[in-house]
Amino acid sequence: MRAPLRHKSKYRKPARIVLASVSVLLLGLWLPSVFSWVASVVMYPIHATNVWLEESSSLVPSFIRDRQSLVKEIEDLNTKLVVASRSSVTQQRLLEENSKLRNLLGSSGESRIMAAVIARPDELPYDLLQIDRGIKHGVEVGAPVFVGRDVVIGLVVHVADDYSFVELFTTPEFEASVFISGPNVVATMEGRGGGVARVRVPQGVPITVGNLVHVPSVEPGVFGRISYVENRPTQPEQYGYITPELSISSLFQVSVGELSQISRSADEIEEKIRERIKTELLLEDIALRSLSSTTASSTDEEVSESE
Amino acid sequence: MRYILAILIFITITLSIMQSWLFLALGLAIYSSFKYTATPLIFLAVLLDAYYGAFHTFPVLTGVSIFWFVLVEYISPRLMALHT
Repeated sequence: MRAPLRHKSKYRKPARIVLASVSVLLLGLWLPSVFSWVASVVMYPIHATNVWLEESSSLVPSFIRDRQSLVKEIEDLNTKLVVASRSSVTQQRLLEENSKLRNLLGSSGESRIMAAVIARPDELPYDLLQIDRGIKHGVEVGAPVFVGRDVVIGLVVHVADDYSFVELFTTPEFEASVFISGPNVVATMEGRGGGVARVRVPQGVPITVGNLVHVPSVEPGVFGRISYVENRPTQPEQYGYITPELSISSLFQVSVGELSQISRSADEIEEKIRERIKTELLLEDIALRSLSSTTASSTDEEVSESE
Repeated sequence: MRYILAILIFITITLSIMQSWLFLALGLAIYSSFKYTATPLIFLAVLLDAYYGAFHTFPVLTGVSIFWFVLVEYISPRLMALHT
């Protein structure tokens, strides 16, 4: 008879604890604010320690935080690496297809002049670069300057025998028509200085960070990506700020293209053709003759002379 | 000394949950449940749920701790029997 009693008493204490816990739970559901206040008072020392671990610049917390953030960053970068390796295969395929199509159309590859950057915006005023190629090497005023294969950064503005100056698109008051892929709109890009350019589009155009910006007047003419969007609902326009992919201060080599790579607009070409046609029939070495004294006798003299 | 160690363990469990060091919190919770008892874990769970405002919806941590307590009370005698 004692065994069942012991058996029952063995479960009595846990049952009481469970009952008490459920009662506390129900009480907490009934008075949540009271429980929150009591918990905030009781947990204050642990809360303070938690805040110290999260925000203090002491050795131990910063070590713990930095390690955690570094581990997270490694995971994010690994993910991006996997995505990038897959997209590079697609990119390679597209490049090959583009090259084949160009060959089919008979497009010849443009020639470029490699140049080293000998002075940068930190050493020169405004957004200028100085390169070590000039007239002797075939550089022309107005030629586009590239970084890598596709990225155009500016135009040659002054050429000497052995060097040239390149004005970057980010020079203040420099304007260019650009095409923003993504929303697929044409906009005006204006240089803001300090390696930053800005496009202005109306509200409602869905520009986002990462949209590629092309300069269609130059072939190929990728300028950069939108790195920041300034959008105030009270303003009628929004701005996309663009910085080149590669920092200007870390540029060491650029390539200079040919003037032929800069296309002209249809209107400009038509205007030039019209001006040329206007003077096409003009013969500059013929002098005007006076026709007021022409008579029948003089005409007879001319006929007899010719005979 | 035993009580001081127990208190330190429970404070570490609380901090680990707040810092999202869940493996450490889980490991210490399992260890303390079998070394001491699972009753203080219910109290910890109530405190954490109240701190995070879970009593405005449903205190999941408290419910899990009650369930864990029942489970430990069920498993412990059998573990002791196996040990002996």
